[in-house]
This record gives sequence, structure tokens and C-alpha cells, in this order.
Amino acid sequence: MEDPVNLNFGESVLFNNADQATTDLGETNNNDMDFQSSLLFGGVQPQPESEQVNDLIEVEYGQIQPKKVKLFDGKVINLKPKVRKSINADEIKSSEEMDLIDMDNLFRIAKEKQAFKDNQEQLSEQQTKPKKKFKTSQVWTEKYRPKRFLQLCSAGNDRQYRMISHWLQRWSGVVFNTEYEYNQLNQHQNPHNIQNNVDQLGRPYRKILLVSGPPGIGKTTTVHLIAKQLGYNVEELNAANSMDVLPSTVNTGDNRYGNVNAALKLKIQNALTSNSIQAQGNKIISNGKPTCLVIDEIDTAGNSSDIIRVLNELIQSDQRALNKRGQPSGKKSKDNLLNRPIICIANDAFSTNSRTWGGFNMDKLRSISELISFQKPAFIKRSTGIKTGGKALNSVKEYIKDISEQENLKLEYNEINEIVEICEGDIRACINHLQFNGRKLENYVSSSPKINKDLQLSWFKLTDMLFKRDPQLNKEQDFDNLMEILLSGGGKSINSSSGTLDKVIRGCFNRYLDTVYYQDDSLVKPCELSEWLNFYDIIGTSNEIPQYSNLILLKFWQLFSEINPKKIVKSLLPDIKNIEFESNEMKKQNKALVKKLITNIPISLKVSLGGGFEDNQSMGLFVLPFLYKILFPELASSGSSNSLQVKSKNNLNDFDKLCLEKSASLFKSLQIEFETFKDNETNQLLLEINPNLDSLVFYDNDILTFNPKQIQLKRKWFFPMLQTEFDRITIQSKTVKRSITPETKNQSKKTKISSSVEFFKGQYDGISTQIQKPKEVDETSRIWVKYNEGYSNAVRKTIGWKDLWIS
Amino acid sequence: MSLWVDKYRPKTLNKLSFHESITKNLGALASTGDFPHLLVYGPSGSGKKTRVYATLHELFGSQVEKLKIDVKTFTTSSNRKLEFNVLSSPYHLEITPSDMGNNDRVVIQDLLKDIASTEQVDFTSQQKGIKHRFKVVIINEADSLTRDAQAALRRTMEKYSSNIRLIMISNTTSNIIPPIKSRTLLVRIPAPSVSEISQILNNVATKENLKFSVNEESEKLKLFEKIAINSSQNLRKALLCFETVSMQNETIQLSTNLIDLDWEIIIKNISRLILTNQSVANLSKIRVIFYELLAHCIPARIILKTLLFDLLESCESNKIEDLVSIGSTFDNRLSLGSKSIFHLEGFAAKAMVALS
Repeated sequence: MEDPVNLNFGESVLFNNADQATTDLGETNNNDMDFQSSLLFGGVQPQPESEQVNDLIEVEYGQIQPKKVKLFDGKVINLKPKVRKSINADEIKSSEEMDLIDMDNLFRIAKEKQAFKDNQEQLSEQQTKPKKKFKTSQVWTEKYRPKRFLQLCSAGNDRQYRMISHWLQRWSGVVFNTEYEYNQLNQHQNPHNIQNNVDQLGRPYRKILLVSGPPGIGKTTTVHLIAKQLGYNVEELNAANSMDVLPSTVNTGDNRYGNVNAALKLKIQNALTSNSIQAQGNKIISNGKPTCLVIDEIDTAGNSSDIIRVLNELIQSDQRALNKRGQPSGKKSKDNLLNRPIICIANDAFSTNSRTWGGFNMDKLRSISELISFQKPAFIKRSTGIKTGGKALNSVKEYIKDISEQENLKLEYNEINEIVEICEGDIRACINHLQFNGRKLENYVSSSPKINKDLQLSWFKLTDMLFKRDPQLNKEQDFDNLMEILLSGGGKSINSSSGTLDKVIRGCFNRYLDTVYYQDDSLVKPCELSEWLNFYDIIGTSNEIPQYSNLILLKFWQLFSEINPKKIVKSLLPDIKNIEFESNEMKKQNKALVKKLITNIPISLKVSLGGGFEDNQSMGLFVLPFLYKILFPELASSGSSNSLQVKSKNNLNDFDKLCLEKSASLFKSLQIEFETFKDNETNQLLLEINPNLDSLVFYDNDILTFNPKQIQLKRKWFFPMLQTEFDRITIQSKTVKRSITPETKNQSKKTKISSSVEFFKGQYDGISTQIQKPKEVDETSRIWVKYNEGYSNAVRKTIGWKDLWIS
Repeated sequence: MSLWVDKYRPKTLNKLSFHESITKNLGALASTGDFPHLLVYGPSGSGKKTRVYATLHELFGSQVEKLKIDVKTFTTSSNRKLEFNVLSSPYHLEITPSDMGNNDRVVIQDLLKDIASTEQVDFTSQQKGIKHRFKVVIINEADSLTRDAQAALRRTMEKYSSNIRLIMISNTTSNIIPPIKSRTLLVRIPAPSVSEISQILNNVATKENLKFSVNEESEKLKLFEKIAINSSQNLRKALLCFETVSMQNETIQLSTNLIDLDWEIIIKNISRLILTNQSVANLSKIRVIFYELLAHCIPARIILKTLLFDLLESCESNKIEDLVSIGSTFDNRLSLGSKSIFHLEGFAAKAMVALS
């Protein structure tokens, strides 16, 4: 007969008690249980189906004739002591002589198994569910790293991308021998083709490319991509692996430092001279791709000074080799031509973190490398008052949108906008943000904003809040609300890190003037605010009670909040967002400049200009402005006519000649050089001095304007004159040295002697009082002493005792 | 060829021209062959360091002028290598703590201990019976030493006093802790007077054979006085200014306009803005200018000071008191805080309110 229950009674499930069995069966039935696999009743002979009457099932145990059966209703009929407490299916099967079946146990097992199965199903559901939506084995920043040049997000750095690729392409002449002929032709026409920034071999004039820029805008990605697309194999050296020491086979000495250094050098040179190889099947074959060395994070690498030293050595040996080229080389020289490109990547090209002997590492690197700096996509305030990014930022947003579409995150454009703004244009941070907050943002769309109150508030949102008042609440309530948010709500995350609080304060500071301007245009509020800003500044520097510093935001709200804040159409301050950043950057740059200049100044002048080595206030205040005017005197006879006629020294009058000589000698002693600099944008050749004092000396605002054109015009005729003056000085000093007649020698050295004599005086009158004072000796027979400052053999002159003892 | 600042710098005590009594005292100090720790203070450009070097010259002879730059390395507590320059001669060395940032305590301790552990060997004055057993350490800008470093100095000054003499040079004594002050001999070098500066300028002019349009001494002195006043009695600035003027023309016209520094002109304009029109729009304009001045390495306190004096020059006399009190408040804030733009703008705003 058909059984409604899905049990396979063919395998003879035994039910002794009708009621119990019914309920139990009902349960198991619902759970769609498979008794066939889970419950096996071993040794039980299948009984004719007729015996199973509907719910009541009577089972006879075949040969094992009637044994006692335990009934479910509690009646125990002759309980056999042999029954085991824990029965599992297999045991039942094996024990043929088992005559008593513990139904209790069986059901327990059945339930357990069912529960287990259910659990497993639930578990697997949990596991598979997220997998369906966020199928990630990879961090998205890696997953969406551009694979081709065209995939690169422009982010306002298109020009930089092109510059990198141009630079790399110029190498192809040397590396691939493709354009070599063409370049050789060029070379004959003008050997120093600085105009194209190419040297005799067609390589870029500067052999190292230094790419700098803020984190997360794709420096590394770009460099890798471009190098790969141009057919290079990228060999990367970064802060993580540059410290590795080569295997002990290269252990050249017991000096560990030397070893590391040597290893590093070997590593770099290996990278530069070898082609990469690939394993194909059993064979290892060269894929023919030349290497391009990429040194990442060079400004932070622990041994950046070593790396830079090695690079410097490479460049020098290259220069030597280049000079020797063409000459028949008798013996094998150590100097190798550099024939692979080297690209360095740094966050801050002006980093002053690490320094070694005689200057900052990055300074040394900068001087030998071509500089390309990436810019962060900046926010631009439109005239409509809506904050939008320029083209650059939009491209970032498009990029993020692409990813969100691919990942099916369904983000609205304004949400993407927010993400980009939070991350301040840092693409990598944007993608990270997207991946880890992707789900959260999904909730954000669907759910009401109140639930998400404890979500992170972005700093600019908070800034907006501070200038807004809720019309439905009275002032006290609103104040309490805001305080709640600041102290425990979304604002807390901002307060917890001082960096973001600073951003909020700056944002408010940038904005409040406009608000006041529209409110009442009185200065009372700015005055009051200045007290609070002072409070903030002092608390911030004390570093002890930072938890109070966020209260200043409440003051902002109290002073400036409005129910309907106006959109600021035209800010009083132009380009408010960047002005502070730019000012800081310029300050840094100028400070670096002063340092550089001050290290080159001769010691005695340095002392005269006031003590400090690096942080000298007076340098920027008045020394340099005056110095600049002395370096570039207004030559009267060259007149007001700044025409470009060729001027020579002969055209000048005596006084101007003097000025020129003075200026030239100062240039020499301060080690200021002039150089031509090609502006990539306007393609003009600019005349600059190095270190470039222009940025320190000139101001450009409403009051004083800075006219670079006039300066350039002046330099165009002034520099050649200086150059001839330099040449004259060097020639003069040479000829003077050669044609020293005894008499001129006397005169020229006389000044120096007095100090040297005194030196000897001190040395010898301590030994013997009999010695005549050398000054008197001076009158009778002169001693000429050559004094080499700074050397151990400082004084070398054969002096007979006679000279000293003569009375 | 070198700048006049360097060229006409006196090397010995008897060549020093002004502050005779201080010079005499220093000479007397040097003649004993020994001296206590010194704290030399006074405004910049008043000849503090020149005097110190002249004293050293008196003590040790010309050897002190054989200066060279050493690079010293130190390991900070965070295991970072730190390198900085030390200017030294056989008898002394000179350090500037602001080079070292926050690590000046470590550097000062290590450096001083290092020097103190080696005793100076001195041949020269054996015969006189005085041995210069000590080395001199000059600390520039001593007021920029952190509290920690100053505290570290306290003990070292006493402990190693047999081997080390400290000469601290600073602009003010206000940042120096009292224990240090009590351990040093305080020498104040005031700024030279206008007539003293013009005398010096006159000497330089005759030595350089400069031509003037008028030959009368009194007329020339007027020009020199003008320069002296213009450079706020800073001799270094006066000399540089004079040299620049002399480069402009072969014969120096007495009526020549002195060269105003760009930043001074700009601050003058700010003061004019504040005086003429007190409005928020103006305040925002001023903020932009402040940013630019800061970018050109002009210290905020100098901006404040110059601006205040420019304002005082041209405001009504009953406002002076208010302005000065505002100025001093904000000067205090600038020296305590670190975000100078807040305070500068605060000063501008308050000054506007006071003037309106």
C-alpha cells in the first residue's frame, strides 16, 4: 500500500507504539527525512506489507522469535539487559542477535542528524550568500589596477604620462637600436643637443627619471604600465626589498655595511645589464625584453642614501665613459655606459627626511634626474557655487563609477562624489573605500538617514552643518543636537583624529569671512573668533587635553550659523582651498633653498651673516634681498635701454666694470651657477640661477608685481658678460700663479704671513725663552711659509735652525 | 672678494668699535685665561658673536679662526640616525640647536659628554702658567633650545665645568630657564646707537674709496644715519644696505632713496589697508597677503611687529595704547601657538575694530 510518508518501509522501520509513531512520523515527514540512509535496521527481515496496517506497525522479528518488546507508551515488557544505551546504526546492523531495538535512541539519532543537516545547510547558506555578491579573492586596488595604458585614469596627469613615455621612448635608441641611425645624424649636426634634451647617444640628457607626487594617484602603476608597453621588463626595487642582502657568495668582507652596499650596487647593476629570462617548458629562454629599473619609494627607503650614492656613481661612470667614447681605449676601463633607463618614484621630491654628508639625499638625486611631478586632482569651485572637480576629478569619478558598475554596487553619482571627496582625490583610497564600504553604502541608499547617524561624517559635511541652523528647533535644542553629534555621534570620529579636526577648522576658517560678509559685514565676530582660534591652537599644541578642542566647532556654529546659508557665489578669497597649501609648499621650498645656499657659503661669511646653519631668519628677511641686488647690479652705462645688443665689458665704464667683477666673484664664492632651463609648457628657454633665488626674493600681488619677462631680458645680456668675467678670473689666477716673480710673491703673501708667524711664535717661545721674536726675524731674513688649510701637513716648508736662531 | 659684512668684521677685541665698557670687561675676562659660562644676549646685528669670537681670539690666539665644518652623527631614542653640522676650531665648537629639531636634548648631552671626556692639550700658554684645559662650546640661538635640552644642560654645566665652557648666544633671555641663567654670566649687548653705526659706515666708505656727491662730512653722516635708522640699528643689515646702495651708483647721491625691502613695502600697504577701510572684504585681502609673506620665509612675529609699528606711526595718538596692548597679546599667542595665520588675522581684525 502507498505510504504517505516518504519513509522506505521496505527496509522495515519498526514502530511499536502507534501514537508515538504517528507524531514522530509526522515530524520526520515534514522534514523530508531520508530514513533509508540514516536509519538502517540491520538483521531485520523485510516483512510482508500487509502486516503494516496504516499507522500501526507490527513487526515480527523473523527467526528470533518473540522476544520482549519495549513499548513506547512506557510499558516495559521484559527488558533485556543486553540493550546498549548508545546505539548507532551500524551497530544495530552488525548485531544480528539484537532482539531489542531502542526506538528512543533511533529517534534521537534521527533528530540529531536532521539538526546537523539543517545546521549545515544554514551554514553553507551563510557562506555562499556573500560570495554571490562580493566575489573577491583580490583586493580591488589590485583587481582594478589598470592593465593597459588606455585604461589609466587621467586624473589630470595626462601630460605627466606623456612626459614619462617620451622620456622612455628616447631610450629606445640605445636599448633597441631602432632609432640609432637617426640620432647619429643628429649628433653630427650638434653634439650637445640640449634643446631636445638628448645626449650624443640619443639618450635623454638626464639619465634618471624622478617621478614624484602624493600617494595613491598611480605613480607606480603608470610607470610600470608605460615601461611594459614600451617593451621593457620592469625590475622593481623598493623599500621592502632593497635592504635584502645577496647570498653569502658575494660576501666580500666582514664589514657588514660594505657588504650591503656592494650587494646593492651589484643588484642595481645586474638589473641594468641583464635581460630577463622566462621558463618555457623545460627550457629557459630569454624573452628578449630589456630591463627597466624602477626604484619605488626612494624617499622613504631605509637605505635611500646608499641607493642614491650608487645611482650617482653610475651616472658619473657613464659620464666618464661617454667622454672616452671614440678614443681608442687601450685597456679595458671600468666605466660602463648606462644603457638602461632608471626610474625613481618618490612621494616628496623635496623630502628632507634623510640626509647624509653634505646635504639631503633627495637634493643629490634631484640634481641628476629629470623631474616629473604628479598632481592631485584638485577641487575647483565653480562660479555657481557648486563644488565640482575639474576635468581631472571627473575622470577619477568616472573611474570609480566604472568599478562600482562592474561590482554591481549601484552607487549614485553623488555618493561617488562623496567618496572621492573624502579621499581627496587619492584613487587608491577611493577604491579601498569602495570595497570595504560598498555594502554599507548600499544600506545607505535604502534606509532612512536616521539609522545611519553614526556613520562617519565627512569633514566637509560637518563644516556645512556648522553653518546651518535647523528652522524647526529653537536655538538651545539645536545647540544640544550639535553637541550630541560632536561628542558622541558622527562628529566623534572627526574629533578622535586631530588631522580631521584640523581640516574642519581650516574649512570653517576659510569660509567664515564670506559668511560674515553677507551677514552684517562687521568685524566683531572675527574678533571673537580669534580668541577661540587661539584657544584651539594652544590646546592643540599642549597635546594634553585634546578632548576639549572640538568645542571650538560649537563656537563656529554659534557665531556663524544661519537657517538658510547662502550659496557663496563669489568668494572674497580667490582659490581659498589651495592658498594655504600653496603657501606652505612654497615656504618649504624656500627653506630648502636657504639651506642649500647656506651650505655653500664660505665659512667666514657664514659666521658674519649670523650663526644658524639652516634656520636662519635673517637670510630670508634682508640678507638675500640685498644679496640679490648686489648680484645683479643695475649697470648704469648699459643704460635703461634693455635692448639685446651684444654688450661686452669694454662698453662699460669703470664703475660698472667694478660692479661686474664684484658680482662675478660673489657668484663664484657663493657657488651660484646659472643654467638654462627649458620650460616644457611654453617651450621657452629660461635663464635661471641655481639655487634659484627668484621665488624667495620676488613677490607677486596687488602691491608689488613680479615681472619675469624683464628679468629674463636682463639676464640675457648679463649672463654672457658674467661668463666672460668668470673666464677672465680663472685665466688670471692661472697666469698669476705661473709668473710669480719673487717680488710679487712677497707682496701677495705678506698678508697671510702675519698669522702664520704668530702661530710659530706661540709654538716656540714656550720651548725656549732665548728665541728671538719671529717678528724681528721677519725683518732680517724672511721665512716664507705655505699654509695649506685643513691638511695634516698644513705647514710644509724647510726651515733651517739658522733661520730661527739668528739674532 | 667678499661682502662687506665679512670684510670689515673686527677679529680682535681692540678693533671693536662700540660698547667700549663691555669690550674692556671681556678683555679683562680673557686676560685671566679663564672665564665662567657666558650667556650673551641682545638684538640681532649688535655684534654678539663678533665679540665672542674676539674674546676667543684673545684667549687662544688666531687658531680660533681656523674654522672647519664637521658632520656629527647621533642616534636618537627612536633609533633614527641624525646628522648635523658643527663648526669647529681646535679650541671651540659651535652648534645651532634649531638644526636638530626636537632631538636637541640627545645631541647636547652626547656632544657635551663627548667633549668633556677628552681633555684639551694646550702648548701655547704653558709658559704663562695658564693651561687652557677647557674647550669652548658656543650655542647659537640658545633661546630656541627646548626645555628638555635646557634641563639637560643644567647638570652638565656643573659636572664638566673643568673641561667645558659654554657660551650661549641668544636674542632674549625670556625662553631660558632660571637655573641656566643663574649658572651663567649674563652679558647684554645692546644694539649700537645710530651715531655709532654711521661712524662705522663712514669708516667703511673711506676704506672703500666711495665717491659722494657732496664731500662734507656732516652731509654724509646724514645719509649714514638714515641707513642706520632704516635698518633698525641692525649693523649687519645696515652694512648690507649700504653695500647695495653703493653698487647702484658710482657717486652716491645723498638724496638717494634707500632700498626698501619688498616685504616691508607690502606690510606698509597692509597697515594702510587697515587704517583706511575696516571691512571684512579688506580682512580677506589681508589674509591672502599674510599667506604670501609667510611663504617667503618671513617669520610671523616679525610681520606682526613691523605691522604694529607701521600702524603706530600713522594712527591717532589716543589709539596707540589699544594697539600696543593688542599687539602684545597676539605676539604672546604667536610665540605660544603654531598656527600663525589665525593669530595674524586675529590681530588685523582686532586692530580694525580698535581703529574704527
